[in-house]
Amino acid sequence: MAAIAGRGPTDSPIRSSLRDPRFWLLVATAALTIIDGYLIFVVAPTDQVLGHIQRIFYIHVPISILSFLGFLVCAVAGIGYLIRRGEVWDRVAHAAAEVGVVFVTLALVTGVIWARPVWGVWWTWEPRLTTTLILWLIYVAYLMIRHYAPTAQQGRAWSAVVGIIGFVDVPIVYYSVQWWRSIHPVQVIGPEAADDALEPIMARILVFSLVAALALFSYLLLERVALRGAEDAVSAIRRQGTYD
Amino acid sequence: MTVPPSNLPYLFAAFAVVWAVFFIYAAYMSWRRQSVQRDLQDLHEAIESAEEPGDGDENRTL
Amino acid sequence: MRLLSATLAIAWKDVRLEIRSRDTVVSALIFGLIVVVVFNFGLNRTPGSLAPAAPGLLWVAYGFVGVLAMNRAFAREQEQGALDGLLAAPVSRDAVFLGKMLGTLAFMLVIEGVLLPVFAVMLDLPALSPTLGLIILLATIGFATVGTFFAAIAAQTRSREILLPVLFFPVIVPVIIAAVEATALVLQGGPMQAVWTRWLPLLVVFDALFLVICPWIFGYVFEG
Repeated sequence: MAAIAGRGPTDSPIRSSLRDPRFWLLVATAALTIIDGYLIFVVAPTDQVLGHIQRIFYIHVPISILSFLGFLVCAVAGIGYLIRRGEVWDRVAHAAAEVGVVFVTLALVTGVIWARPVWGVWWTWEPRLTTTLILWLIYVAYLMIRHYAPTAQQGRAWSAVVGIIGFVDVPIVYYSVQWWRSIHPVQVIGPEAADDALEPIMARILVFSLVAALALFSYLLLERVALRGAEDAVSAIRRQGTYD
Repeated sequence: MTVPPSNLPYLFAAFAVVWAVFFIYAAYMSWRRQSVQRDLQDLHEAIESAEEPGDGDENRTL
Repeated sequence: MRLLSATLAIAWKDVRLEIRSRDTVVSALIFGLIVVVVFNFGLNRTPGSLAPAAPGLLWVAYGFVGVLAMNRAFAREQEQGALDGLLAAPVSRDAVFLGKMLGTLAFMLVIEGVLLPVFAVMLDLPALSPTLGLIILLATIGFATVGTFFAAIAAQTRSREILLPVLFFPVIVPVIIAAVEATALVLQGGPMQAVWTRWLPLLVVFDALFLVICPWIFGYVFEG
């Protein structure tokens, strides 16, 4: 565990990790995830229509919601960077987008795994799945743009503006895809899940899963911000060293 | 209960993928940060030894 | 007033350049035609007309041609360092953005206007409808606004040909959806209520939103 938290050169590794909030966040995340696994696999009732596969829902929904949170944080931090110009704003925006892309990728993967037994196909142009795919494309482009910029400062500014545009686009994409699908309904082969037929125990486990996913998201975000900070420090010294 | 038996492998596949990806991502970041921090420490030491007078290796590359 | 005259001057500069050289218009037109021919082999497997796929085909061709036009708009400035001159000129960044956007818009509308009758003949469509004209205008404003913004970024990199479509197409998805659906309704000639209550308002909202946001953050594209 000590390996994961940061450590100063003179500190004992165990003592320094006990002072690091990320260490405690990691412990909390691990505990919540284990409890969540127990709730999902043991406590949650098996869905009468869909069978065991319905349990995917307890991770698919939270990671989808948290990917949105990641993109919201990315856009807000992008605006913060453009106004205040602190590099920490850019680090947070970059970290939030990267963690958001990890979450949205997993939302797509779990959506595909859900679609196969439930709808009989691997991929279907269902509105939420389609919107998720477009979000994935937008934010992969966000992560790309930084590497194409001629200077680091341009990379930060370009990322910020692409993050803002991407996030403004999200609700429009969602509504247009929704309207589009309402004209051409998806061909659903298997039984369809009714969204509103959620038993109270299922709803409570979903909320718990959301809390666990939020802890994981916060841990990964803080870890990514710290990593960017360390990387920036090294490259700053390297730059000075070569100019001396 | 009309539960199709072919259901469970999909469920386990989904959870396996999700947990594996999160674990690899977190492990990669912590491994990378450790190596970056080691770099940072080496650089600081290199700068300190370069700043000592009469050391003769001011031109060592960082 | 200064903003307007500067905007129009920049747009007019681009239009005149294009009138004189004509290189992009001609290649863009041929490219639009090629898209239809190629898609014919992809989609028209059973004997018959391509009419059911026509709205999608039309907007795929317009989208590809649009990317071509937008890349040109900034690549031309970049090639001879003219962009630095443009940015150093005593006009606001809003005027630069709106001028380049208007120039692209005019260019795209001309190409789309020429391609439309060609498509109408090849796909056997009743293409002469004022509603369709309005759809094309509103969708092209959305294309030109978002496209000009991303082209300004892409032009400053070495891989602008790939970067622009990668940035442009995901963001423009709502415009494509609205334009294709509205065009399909017009071409079917059935009830057009959804065009007026749903797709045209969607296009207007998209255009208005990005016409506010893009000039606002355009200045940040050129720093550093």
